[in-house]
Amino acid sequence: MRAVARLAWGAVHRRRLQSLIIGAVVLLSSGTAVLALALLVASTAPFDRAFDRQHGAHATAGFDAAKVSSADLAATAKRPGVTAASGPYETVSAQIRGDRMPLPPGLIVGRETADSGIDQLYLVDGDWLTGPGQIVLSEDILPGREVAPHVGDQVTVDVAGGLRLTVVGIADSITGTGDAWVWPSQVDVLHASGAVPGWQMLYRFASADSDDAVRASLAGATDGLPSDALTGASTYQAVRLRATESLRPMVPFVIAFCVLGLVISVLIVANVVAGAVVAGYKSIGIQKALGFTPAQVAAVFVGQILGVSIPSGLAGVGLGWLAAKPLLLQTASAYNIPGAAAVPGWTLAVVLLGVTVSVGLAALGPAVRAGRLSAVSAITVGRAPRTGRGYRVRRALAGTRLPRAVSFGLGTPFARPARTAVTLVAVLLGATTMVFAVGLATTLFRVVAAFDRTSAVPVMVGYRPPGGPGGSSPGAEPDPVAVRAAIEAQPGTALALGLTEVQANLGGSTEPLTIRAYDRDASQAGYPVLSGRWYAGADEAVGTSRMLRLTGTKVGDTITVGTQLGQRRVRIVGEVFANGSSATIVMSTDSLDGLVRSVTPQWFEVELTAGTDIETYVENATTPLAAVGAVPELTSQAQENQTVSVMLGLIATLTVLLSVVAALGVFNTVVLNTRERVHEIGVLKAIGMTPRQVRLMVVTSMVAVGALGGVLAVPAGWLLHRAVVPVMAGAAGTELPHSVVTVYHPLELLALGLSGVVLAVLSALVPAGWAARTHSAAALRAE
Amino acid sequence: MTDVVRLRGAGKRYETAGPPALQGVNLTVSAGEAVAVMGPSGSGKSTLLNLVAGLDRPTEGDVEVAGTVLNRQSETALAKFRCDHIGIVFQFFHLLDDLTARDNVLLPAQLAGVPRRDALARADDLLATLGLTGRANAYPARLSGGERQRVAVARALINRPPLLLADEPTGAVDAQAGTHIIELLRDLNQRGQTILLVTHDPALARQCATRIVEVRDGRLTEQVTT
Repeated sequence: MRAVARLAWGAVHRRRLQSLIIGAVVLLSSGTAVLALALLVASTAPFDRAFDRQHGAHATAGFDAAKVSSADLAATAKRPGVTAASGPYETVSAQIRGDRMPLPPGLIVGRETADSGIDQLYLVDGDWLTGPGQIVLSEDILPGREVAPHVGDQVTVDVAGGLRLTVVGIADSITGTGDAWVWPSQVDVLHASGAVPGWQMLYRFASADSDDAVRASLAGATDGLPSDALTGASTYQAVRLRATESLRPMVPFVIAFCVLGLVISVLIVANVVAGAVVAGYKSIGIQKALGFTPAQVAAVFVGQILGVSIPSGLAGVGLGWLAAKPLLLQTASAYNIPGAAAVPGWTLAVVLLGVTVSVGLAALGPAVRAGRLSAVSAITVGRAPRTGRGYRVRRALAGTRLPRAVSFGLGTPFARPARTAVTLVAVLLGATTMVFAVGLATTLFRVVAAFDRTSAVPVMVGYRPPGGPGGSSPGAEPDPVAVRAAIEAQPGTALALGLTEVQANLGGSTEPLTIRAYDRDASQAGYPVLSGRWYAGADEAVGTSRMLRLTGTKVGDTITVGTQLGQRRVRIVGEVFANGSSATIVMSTDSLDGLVRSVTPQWFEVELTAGTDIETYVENATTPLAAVGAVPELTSQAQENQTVSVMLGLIATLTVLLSVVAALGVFNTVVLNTRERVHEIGVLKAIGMTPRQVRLMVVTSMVAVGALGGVLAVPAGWLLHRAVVPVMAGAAGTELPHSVVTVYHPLELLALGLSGVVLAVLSALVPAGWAARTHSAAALRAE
Repeated sequence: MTDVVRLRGAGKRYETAGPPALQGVNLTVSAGEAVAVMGPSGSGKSTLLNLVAGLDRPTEGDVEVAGTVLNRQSETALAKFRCDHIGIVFQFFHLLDDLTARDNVLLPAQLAGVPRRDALARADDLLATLGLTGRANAYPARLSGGERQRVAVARALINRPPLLLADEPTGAVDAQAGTHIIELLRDLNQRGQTILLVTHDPALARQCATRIVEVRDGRLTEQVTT
């Protein structure tokens, strides 16, 4: 055993370049694998742990207090399929104002204990309510630490009379069942004059694996109640989706990159070992002549691979852990769970074990072949490459008009078909990575463009602060009518859409709802309609994909939208693709009647006439708009999507890493080929082949492999993109418009097809240079 | 007569601190001469041949072949020079296993950019001259030692080099094949081919060379005219 270990370790040192290649690919692939697994675990595990700990509600249902009684609701807890229920709790929608700033409108729930059977509230700060006059605020509605109300502060609940309550605690509800909680007998809030009272029930169901299952269970629980008693409901799946939205869309593509990386690594290891076996025929013969058993010979090869891959795998796991840590910290802070930021130990162990076993198995095939060689034939064959392969092709190439160095190079892959096949797959996967990455990046750019609607409304006009530089006179508010007139007077303006955004609540749900209301026909404002149609009048709206998923609303449903001024029933007639982290509906300002005191555009979106240069438009419009206290800017500069930026960064990093791994695969093959052919190269140089011709010969030996790999990579990358993007969209809680999924231009695919050649040529350049510098006299002495 | 090879104080040291492989060699080979370099194993014969072939560079002195001082040339220039001016016949033939006899012969012409038709005609002509017409499409593995060496000679001659270098050309063939090679070299020389031959076989040197020089411990010790 000691002899085997000594030989294996000696081989690691003697074959430093190959050891370095294996070390690099194992390090990169194990690092990527840790990152992928950590993201996969972190994207859902912290939420699931917090949900279990707080015994979260599968469904939070809101009811109209005028249509159903407390006793009716209590009876729903005994319905089939309901495993636990809490409530009914009295609710009211109202705005809470801190001394430093108002909070968004929210749902205030009358609740006696934090520690009820379902939705056990986690107190982040302070204590739970002990009686009337107190309020506990949800951590979710608090703005930044500087301006948020603290424990001990007084806040005003914006109901009739403006009631002052003392903040006694800050709590976290895992499923966001309320924005604030008051003592159940706080009737001046819960039964305030003019407010719309409601009931809330929290349920856990036997069947709750999916959003549909939860909604079906809820329908069963509320069966028999008046049909319009249920004003809305949110499910834990929707909350989970919202909680994990920043990480989950990354998981599918990181896993795709990880699998590609692992496969390339395994292929490279197999190639390295097969090359080591060929180069070490003589040593194998000597070992066997000395009495090594076939198993011991195989163990030497596997040992030398594991000797490199285990420390490299450990280093890769460490690097992956470091890369994953910031992403996990971000998630963990959202759930107040100690230890959630740590990459689970089993993840690291699984990656290390998986990578080690994979490369070990990859090494085993050629190692076993080495063990089976007969001593005599191994010594006889020595280091000379086996002949008899690809003669016809090489001869045919020799007969062409191609320069001899080129025809020599093109024929090289046929001499070692197995090695060529493995290298081809490495190039194929590397080029597939590039095709996939380019498609993914294009998709994300188009998502951003579709979110921002830069092509439809390329210019936005906002108001300058009064008295600000270039603004209107001190103290004067900009006049929207004058601003619109100034925009419409500007050459190139096709349409100025005044936009009013209102924060509202959705009946029966704590999910914040954003209303975007346009004062003109916004059907051409660039919202891709995914299903249904654009709204046609008052009381119709389109919902964003995200809104539909977060609230369980479907096209055709009628929802209840409320503000502190009143409620309105709105029918969702279509699904659109739009940005915004919150649930958003888009409708006409006509539908805002009763929800806001007056409709005043907060900014304008400007459609331009065909052929108008956007930047020139903005430049020309700046002065006249400044005169009325407004400022134009490019839509693309006004928006930012942090998640997309992080994803683009991750895609770029992983693509570079995988391209490096694939390049190392080609590099390794060229090194093996040139080392095996060192004598032949020496002869060629001796009879007059110039260093440049040698370089050309070696580089062209990989051109055909690169070209074929690139050609095959185009459909492979295309298919991978087609498979992964919808999964990402699902994880992000949205449908995608066709333009975002169909991203490849035929010319772009053609160019991407060449990526295999570029990868192969670049990887071959260095060993080609080494081959060109081969010392003929020394190479000939190698005979 | 024009000098094809001229070595002036040429020497080679592989390790700075080690003993020289070759030192202070002065040698001239005129056009049409056949010079045999003799000496025991390790004496520096092959080093001398490598210097003349431009496969190695002298660490001292000058090596001039066909009017070109080789030690001042780049690797690329040396390769082109070899292709055009020097043919080499190796002891172990150094044919490329993956090419047929004809393709092996064609190789230097193809590297030199000779039109394919001309190169083919020349190759077939050489193969015929050397009695290898029937073996033109055979791979080296199917050829006898003597046939392989004749293919190597044909390859060395395809570009009509002014200088033919032969390194132990009979060292790896049987006696009968060796005799054929000797006759071939002598015939070539009689037709004007300048030859520099490295061997430790006195019979080969006597039969092929018009002049014999001896190398011992890296020094040229004796010049004999046959």
